[in-house]
Amino acid sequence: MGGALYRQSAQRRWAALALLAGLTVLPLLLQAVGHEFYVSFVSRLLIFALAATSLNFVVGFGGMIAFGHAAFFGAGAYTVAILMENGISSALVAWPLAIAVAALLALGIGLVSLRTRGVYFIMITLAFAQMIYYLFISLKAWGGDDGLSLASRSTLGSLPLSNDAVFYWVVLACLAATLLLLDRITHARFGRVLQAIRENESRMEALGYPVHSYKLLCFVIGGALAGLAGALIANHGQLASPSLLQWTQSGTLLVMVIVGGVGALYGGVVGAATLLLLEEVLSHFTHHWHAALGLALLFVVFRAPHGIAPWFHRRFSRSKKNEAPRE
Amino acid sequence: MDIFLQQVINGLVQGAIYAMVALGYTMVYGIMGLINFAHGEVVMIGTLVTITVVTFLLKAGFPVWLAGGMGIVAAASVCMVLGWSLERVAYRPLRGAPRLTPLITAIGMSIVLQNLAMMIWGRNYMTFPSLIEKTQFEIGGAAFTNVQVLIVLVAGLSMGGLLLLVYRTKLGMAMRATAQNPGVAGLMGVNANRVISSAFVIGSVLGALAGVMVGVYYEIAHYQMGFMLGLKAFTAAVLGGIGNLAGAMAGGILLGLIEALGAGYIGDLTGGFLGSHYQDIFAFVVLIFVLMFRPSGLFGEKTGDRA
Repeated sequence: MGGALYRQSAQRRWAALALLAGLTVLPLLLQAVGHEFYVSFVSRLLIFALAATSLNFVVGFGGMIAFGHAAFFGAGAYTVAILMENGISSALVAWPLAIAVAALLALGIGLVSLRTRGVYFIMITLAFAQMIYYLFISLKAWGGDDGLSLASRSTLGSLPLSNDAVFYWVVLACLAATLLLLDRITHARFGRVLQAIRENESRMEALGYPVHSYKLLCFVIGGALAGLAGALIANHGQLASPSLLQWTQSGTLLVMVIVGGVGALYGGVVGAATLLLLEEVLSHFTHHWHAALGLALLFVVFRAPHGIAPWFHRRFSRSKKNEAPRE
Repeated sequence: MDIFLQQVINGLVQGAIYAMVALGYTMVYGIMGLINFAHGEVVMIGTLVTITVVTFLLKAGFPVWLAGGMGIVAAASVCMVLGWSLERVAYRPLRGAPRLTPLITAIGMSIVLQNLAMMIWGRNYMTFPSLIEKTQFEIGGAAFTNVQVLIVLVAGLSMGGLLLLVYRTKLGMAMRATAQNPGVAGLMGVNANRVISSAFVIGSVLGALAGVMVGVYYEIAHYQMGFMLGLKAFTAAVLGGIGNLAGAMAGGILLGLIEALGAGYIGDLTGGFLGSHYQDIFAFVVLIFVLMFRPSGLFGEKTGDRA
């Protein structure tokens, strides 16, 4: 039993390393075949993977269906843009601050929202996010409807971030670090307690765990990581746009998480890749790609109701005794 | 004073429409714990079908009352079929799946329906043919039209009819039983599939009526109108306590009133910082405050961990 588990985790580690290596050399490959354009596309994909992963931590491990994640995503982006506007372009200052701002925002919103549960939690997080959206589009000093553009990308030591390939590697490093961090968290005591709370909140409360604080901390971690993704997306397009804060953004992230696999470590990554690739491919083929996307979503969900990552895992993993994916 | 009264009248009309749509959400949620995000699109299709049928019949020389009546019947039947098939195609196959999964099919269906409507009716705004000659009345400095009176009346009658159905008929009893405990209801011989289908059908008919009201009231329609209307109506259902019929009605009216009053006074309140097109903010502010103090909505009972 222990051996099987060990084999399985070793297998997973090798798969992850192979994937990481493949993604690392990807820009060189794309350059070699003359498709540099796609480096920027894959960067965007990885940033959304990071944002979806942060939401998946809240939804999948904390069991909180948050419909306002765009608020933290956008807050990170705007923090970087506003600092840039005021002459602070160092990534070492701006990105941690973006994370901090998003975390603080998550703390405030979480404190109030966690009084509610279920569908009420969905709606109250949505309401908070929408209020922040309206606040930003009415603040003319910060760009209003047009958003706030960045004069250049952030500076990070002597790394030329303006080079798309270099920026890609930085994004990849952020994503890999985040996945590693979340992997450690979910296997640590905190993560175990968190998952137990997701399964049975009242029992954990009866056992004396401060359920509310655990959930709040989970919400804040998710928000903070979304802030990092926001900082990256602002740099990617050199724009902090109010559309990052809009509720459709929260919806997109949630779709990515559910399609990828709620509560699966790589669920966010798989979901983001699926959705963005589908969008890219379908929009090449048909004018009505929105409808095609809707149908594709239906198809995916009927084939894999627990999400693609767990489905894939069950199909191709040698051991059939995988942890059952949770909703 | 007259602005206040005026906005109260406008809010009541808008609120009646929200309430009609909110009932569709709350019935489905109450019975099967599912957020039917595509309900807003059903309302939109109702409006567009009415426009097509009425325009065609008026051109063919039918009298106004007959054209209007047949428009409503057509919208109701199309929406009934649509709601019924929505459940069969998008939700029933996923009955045993994780709770969040139907949300994806709902969003998928909603995208598909919007695009379908765009292909059939085009991207442009459509004007609703005028069925009723508008006459204005005045009370205490506030004006209102016969259309507004009619909307509130029809909404009141439909909601009364719904309450009769749910609390005075056998089908209604089966619905309430299924909402309380599907397993036990099944043991008592209630056919859960039939109950769920009827909830969708009834909700869609109310949605179709709401769609006709929106058309008659604003005289304009668009293939994207469903989503925002649906979101607002869903907010109303949550405000009142989801799964609760009276709550959805009260929540709808309340939301309509708050939005109308908010739109009337928002400029003064924020010193011109926010214009009346930010009236949506009020809906969300009120939602946050209500849920802070009543975490299960105004009339909601404390529920378990449903989502």
